[in-house]
Amino acid sequence: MADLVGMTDALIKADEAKLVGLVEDALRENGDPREILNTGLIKGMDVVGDKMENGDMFIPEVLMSAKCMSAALELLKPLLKESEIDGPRKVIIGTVKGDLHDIGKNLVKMMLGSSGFEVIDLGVDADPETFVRAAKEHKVEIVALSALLTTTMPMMKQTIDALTESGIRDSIKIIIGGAPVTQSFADEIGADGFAADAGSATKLAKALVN
Amino acid sequence: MNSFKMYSDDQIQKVHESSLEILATTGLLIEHQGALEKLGDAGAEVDMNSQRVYFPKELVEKCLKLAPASWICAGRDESFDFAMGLDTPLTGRTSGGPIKRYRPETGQIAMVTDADCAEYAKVTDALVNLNTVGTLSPSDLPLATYDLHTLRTFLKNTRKHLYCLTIDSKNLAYEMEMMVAVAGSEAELRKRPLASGLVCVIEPLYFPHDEIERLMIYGKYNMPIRVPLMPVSGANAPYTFAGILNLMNAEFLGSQVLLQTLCPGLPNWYYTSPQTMDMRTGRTYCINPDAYPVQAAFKQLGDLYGVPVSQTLAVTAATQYPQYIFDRAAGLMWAAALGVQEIGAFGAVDSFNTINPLTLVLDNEMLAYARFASTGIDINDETLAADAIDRVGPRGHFMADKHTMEFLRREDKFQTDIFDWRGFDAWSSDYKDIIDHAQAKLDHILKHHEVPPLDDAVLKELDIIVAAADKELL
Repeated sequence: MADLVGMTDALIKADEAKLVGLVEDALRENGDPREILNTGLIKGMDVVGDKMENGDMFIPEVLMSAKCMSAALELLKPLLKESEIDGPRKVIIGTVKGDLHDIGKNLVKMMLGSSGFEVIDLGVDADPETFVRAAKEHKVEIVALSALLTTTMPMMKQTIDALTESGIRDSIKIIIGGAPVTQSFADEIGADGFAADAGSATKLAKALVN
Repeated sequence: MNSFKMYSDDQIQKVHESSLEILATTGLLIEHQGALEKLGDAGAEVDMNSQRVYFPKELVEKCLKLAPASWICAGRDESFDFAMGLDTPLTGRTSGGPIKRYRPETGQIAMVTDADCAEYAKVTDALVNLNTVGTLSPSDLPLATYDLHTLRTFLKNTRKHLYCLTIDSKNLAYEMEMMVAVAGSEAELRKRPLASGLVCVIEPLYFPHDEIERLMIYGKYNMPIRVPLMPVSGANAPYTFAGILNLMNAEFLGSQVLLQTLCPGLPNWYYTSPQTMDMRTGRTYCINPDAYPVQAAFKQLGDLYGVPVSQTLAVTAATQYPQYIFDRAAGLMWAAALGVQEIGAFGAVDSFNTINPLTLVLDNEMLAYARFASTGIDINDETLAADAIDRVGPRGHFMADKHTMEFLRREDKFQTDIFDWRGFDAWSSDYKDIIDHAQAKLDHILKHHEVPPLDDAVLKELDIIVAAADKELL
């Protein structure tokens, strides 16, 4: 019988070896992959999410749990129909043209990835055309723009304008962030949202796609 | 002057050796062909394909010897010049780069304008304890040349040494022309640098191409610079205090090899501002208590290397004056006890983003407070006053004694415009507190202080340079 409580516990504690072992054991014993996914794994990530919300878990711990989740999912994917696994929601993220800073962007990328998003990273110094191309190619739902320098903040507007001119603006949500960025700036340039940190960026992204 | 040493020589040496190991085995990423070639010629191990460079210990030590221990920071008026060196008293620098302005009278925060810059510069000109003035980032100027327009505003409205930010190397070249115009000649600017600049490392361990281009320009004028080391623990630096210390020290040593190889003798500070990431939210703060024990080590390392140390007191509370004052004062006293040569980020709140001119007045006073408290007393036969003690004798008084009269205007006691030590009875006559006094001082400065203007010929030359830059770059 699948040790679902053990799986949840291992996920919360980010014990990848134990989690993978329990999932393998369960599958060997003809355990229901759907039950493992929903009652073992997703339930565990829900607990992780709550703990992070309450300040009981730190971001690196959340990322480690997410890594365990990914490892366990790899075992289940071949056994589940495509319709039984929510396809990842796609996000492109990049630091805008002229800006080389990426630590904030990388943190948001990791958090989004650990929350089930598929994140396409455009790197730094990404011009508006790169964002447009990537958004079309990957058919993303969210475009996330990062800037650390005040001089590069205007590129956020230029990127939004380029996405609008390309005709896909209505099919995407655009969120922005970075040390000098504010909600009022986001409103001014027509972004759909602003996040002050990686945690809120993830919440915002989830809210926008749901 | 003695200063507080938190760590043993062995501990500092351990950090130093670990940093050397990082430079020898992990190295830096430097995206500049010319710099890599020169570093290779100097003895570094260079991988041109990956642009990674590794520095042997001998090269680091050789370059450290080239870093100057002292220089002059000049204002456009010589009376504002000050010495920077290993034993110079604590100096204060206002924050460079803020983009917003808080107005206490309305509680509103708006983007900084050119007019705000003029006003801010004028206030710094009037506040006697502030030494270096950082330029701001106004939003109502042409985006591609705002740094040049801003520099002109600051040159016009303050006589003090500037901490001059720049968009990129193209703009920096114009900034230098402007400073030559004010100094009178390139030679004069080299002799008395009117500003100090910055070359940025992107943590961890990465120097982008344009930063090296800027370095070469600073080097041409031998302008003092800072390489701001501002990583975030747990994000782009190790989570442990010693880890972030080690990374930043390695970056400092690596930057010395870069600076002194490309621009031998370039004056520069050991400039540190370690940041903390809130591991629950991912938000970044500069938190004094987290920084203090690390800053103590940086000062000892700076002493070991013979380079003046600059540190930042950042305050993240937007307008919470009690916390602001405590954070600042505690940090200043700590810096004074360590013997740090420069403290920065005055006049700004909200993680360097927002100026509040009232805080300039507060900072000016707190800097004086910390300097005074940490300056030793004069101990000699005269000041020991044994003769006077004997003359006055038991149950006598010193009020009219000749010793008192002699030193009444010679022995400085702390003077203040804004601290108020009246007892409750006297204070309750008006209930004015430190914020009221600071505001009154600020209002007085804004109403009455006049900054002697630049010569018309110099002003005209500045306008020509800025116009030329606008034509090329807009």
